[in-house]
Amino acid sequence: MVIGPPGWTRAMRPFALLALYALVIRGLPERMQPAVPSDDCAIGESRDRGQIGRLERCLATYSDDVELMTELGASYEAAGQGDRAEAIYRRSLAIDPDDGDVHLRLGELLWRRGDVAGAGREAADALKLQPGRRRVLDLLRRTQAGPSGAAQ
Amino acid sequence: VIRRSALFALARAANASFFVATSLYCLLTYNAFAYQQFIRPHLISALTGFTTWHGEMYWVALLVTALTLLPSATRAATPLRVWMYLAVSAAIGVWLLAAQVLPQVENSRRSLILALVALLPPIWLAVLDHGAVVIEPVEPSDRGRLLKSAVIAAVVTWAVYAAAAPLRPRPSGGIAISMRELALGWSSSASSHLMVFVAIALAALALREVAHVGRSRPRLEYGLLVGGWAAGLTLVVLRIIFAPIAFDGPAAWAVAALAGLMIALTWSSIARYRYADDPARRSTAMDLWLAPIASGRSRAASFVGLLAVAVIAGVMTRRVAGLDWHFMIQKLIALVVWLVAFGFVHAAVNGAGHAWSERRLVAVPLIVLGVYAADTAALPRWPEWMKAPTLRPDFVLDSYAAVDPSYLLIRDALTSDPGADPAFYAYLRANSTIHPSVPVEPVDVDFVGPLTPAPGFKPHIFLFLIDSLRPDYVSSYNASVTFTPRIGAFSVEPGTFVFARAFTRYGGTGLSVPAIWAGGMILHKEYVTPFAPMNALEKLILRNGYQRYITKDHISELLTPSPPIVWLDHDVPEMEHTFCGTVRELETKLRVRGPDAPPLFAHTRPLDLHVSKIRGVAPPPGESYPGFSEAYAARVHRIDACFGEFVDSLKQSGIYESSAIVVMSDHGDSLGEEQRWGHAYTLFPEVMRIPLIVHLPPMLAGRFAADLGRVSFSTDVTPTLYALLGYHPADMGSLFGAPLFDAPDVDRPRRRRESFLLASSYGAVYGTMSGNGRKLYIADAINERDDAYELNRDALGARVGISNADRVRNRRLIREQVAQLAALYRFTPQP
Repeated sequence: MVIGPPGWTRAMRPFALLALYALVIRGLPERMQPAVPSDDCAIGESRDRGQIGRLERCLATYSDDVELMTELGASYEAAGQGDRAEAIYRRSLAIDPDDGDVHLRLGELLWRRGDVAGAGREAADALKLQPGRRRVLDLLRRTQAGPSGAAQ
Repeated sequence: VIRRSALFALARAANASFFVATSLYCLLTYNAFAYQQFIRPHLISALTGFTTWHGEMYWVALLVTALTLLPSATRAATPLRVWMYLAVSAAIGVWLLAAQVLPQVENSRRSLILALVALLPPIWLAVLDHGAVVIEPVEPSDRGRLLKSAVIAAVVTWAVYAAAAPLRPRPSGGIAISMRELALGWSSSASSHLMVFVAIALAALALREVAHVGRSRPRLEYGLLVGGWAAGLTLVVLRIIFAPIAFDGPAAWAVAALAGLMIALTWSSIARYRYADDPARRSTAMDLWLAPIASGRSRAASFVGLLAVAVIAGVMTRRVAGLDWHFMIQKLIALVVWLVAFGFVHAAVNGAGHAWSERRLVAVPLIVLGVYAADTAALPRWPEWMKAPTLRPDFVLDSYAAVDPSYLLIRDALTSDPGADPAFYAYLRANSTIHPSVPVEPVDVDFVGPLTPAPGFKPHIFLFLIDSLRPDYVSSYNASVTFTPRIGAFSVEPGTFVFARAFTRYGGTGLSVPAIWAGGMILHKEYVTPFAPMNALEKLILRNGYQRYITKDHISELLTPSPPIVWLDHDVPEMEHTFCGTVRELETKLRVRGPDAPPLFAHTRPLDLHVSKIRGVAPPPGESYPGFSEAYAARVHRIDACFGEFVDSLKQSGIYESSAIVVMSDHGDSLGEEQRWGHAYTLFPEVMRIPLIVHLPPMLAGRFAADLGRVSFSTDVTPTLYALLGYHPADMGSLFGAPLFDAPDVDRPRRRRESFLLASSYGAVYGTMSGNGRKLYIADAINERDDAYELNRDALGARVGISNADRVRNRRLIREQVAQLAALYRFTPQP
């Protein structure tokens, strides 16, 4: 098939279509990404114990974030909300039972609340994960000494 | 009967392939990381063979080429230029044989020049061919036929890859794609293929229209097609081949442009030869350009050709998958399939009598674009339609793309990360894979002030870096592993510590091993030499009078040779270094040590588990490792047995009781996760996680406490050894390691909260590890995208979305730490 020579108008048609393709392609990918909440949920070096609300919001978004849970637990403890702290530590250990730090925190919390047996269990678990650590050994010794140790 | 023109075409293809291979080899040698990791250790035996026989192969190529040129040379019209070509080529051949050029190419500017020069002979030859075989198109390309071919070729290509996608093997750890997810992948792949093929056809149509403005000029159209082909090839070479091997800048553009021109001209030569038998045939510019694929219009031949392409592409994709450089070769295969499919379809589609109207010529591209736009815009609704609110369509499509390289090619080219920041990625590239020719002075890395010999007990030290060993293949980390009983038993011995959250700082041996020695991150250069000032481990070992037993490989050449090292595996090719072979040799050498011998430091990096040793290898007869990569697990099993024997021998000789033994790897590896193999330039969780098991002698074990759940890094080993010898290593910040063991009353909570910089050894890909080893953020400046993983439940991690705050914070951290590293080495990146 022989097609006659085109004029400039017809010659520009593929260019116009290509430009349209480029525009559509450039515009589309942005819409593909579902929005992710933009709260800054990073845990810095400073403990923002007063930020319970922010941490709870973050945890609602990142429900598996063990570090957030640990941080929130510490914030609850600082605010005197022992029940909430215990719950969040247990939730954290359900996700990651190999976190010696959380075992120790929970053990110390239970010890302060008079649950010597519970504290002893947590201290024993912590010791497997943090062998030789003085704080863990101290807690274990106190729990082995019994309730009398708790009063000291 | 094979036509003479077909033989000529084959000869040209063979000649061009030879010179492309030569140029590529020189480029790999010029590229610092490829030279250190591929060329020097002779990783690919075919490359070694190629250099050895290069001179002879050149002469074979020249002989074949000469045979095709002689008929032309005998004609009176063209003898001189042909004879000149043959004379110069022969002179080069003599030089290549006499000087053994290729085996002597090293990591220098000379290799870059040779890479460029190697592309010139085929260009010269193509110019001769164009003068000798004068075949011209006589008609403009048929617009309707072109668009129709593009649509059909898109459907064919999509169908070939879509059909193969569910059949791709999913080794252990691979993520199975559900039918619903497959449907999503197929849908997106179909609309993307249609859109891209029609876009390419529109580009060809644009060239056609330009060529024929005012009057019909098929010759000009053909010339523009060749030019467009050269430009397209230049971009393909730059984006798909050079970017992943960290080769960029003006030199990369120069090589890519010359390579594009060379291939396009050779292609055009072959096209002319294919038409040479029937010069009277009327052809369009597109017919002539596609002649190397199909020069006739037989539908049956095209159908057979398409079928063959489908089979060959499927087989080749499977075969190269294990050794691919993060999908590079699979993408190139897909590109070839696109081209060949289009060629065959175009040959089969007869446009005569079926001319498309002007309206249809516009309507079809608009419909295709509409389908693509609708499909893409609908993606966010898929979770609702599928009643799966947690479904992330973009993650599903990435998973699907891993089993459909043709779609992956499109996806990588078209899908931009919404948060992509070109300036940030450019900054990372400027700080990465710094060429050896860039002068950088060594800096001192000192964990303690004046390093005096430790006054106390000096344990023997065994540092076993098992290349590519993954923790989930070791029973100490994964209870379902039954094939590492000896390492398992070692892990529960008193004084042995298993660090649960251990990671490498570099996803690749090249920088990982020197970083372990330095006890921290190092400048992204292979290498800043002399390395001794940065080698904190060597300083410790030498200052304390250790006798060194070290495997000889291309990295241990960075070590100070004096006092003499007792080399292990001295005469064994690096890729043949095995754990069993090395520890047996070590065992033999330890037997002859005298009772008053100094403490020993043994260090090896066996390559039993390197991906090149795993893919396509069956486990030994009678062995089976269900749920695991069989060949890999079999080799881990063998390492385990030899490790057990070695520990037994240490116990028998009494050395064990005074030894610190570290079992770890320099990096992990992908074993088929989402079709990924090896580690290339990637930082995926399976590449970054490592086992880290440390046994302390009784004299030391009781003195220290450890936090096995705290994040730890390969770079912690050197400061740990300082601490074990009684030093107090300085806290040098998060770019450096920290002791794994502390006094019982020392807490290091900061390490849990810090963010740590990670990097690829072989490209501008960086990451952060935060949340005590639970959050991995990856900034990939090669593909210009960011990814994030949660490493909580699944050992291999789960991909998660990235909030703007995450993105900003992690990029800031990466940038700051990369800048800190550059400042430490007084390196100023060139923009």
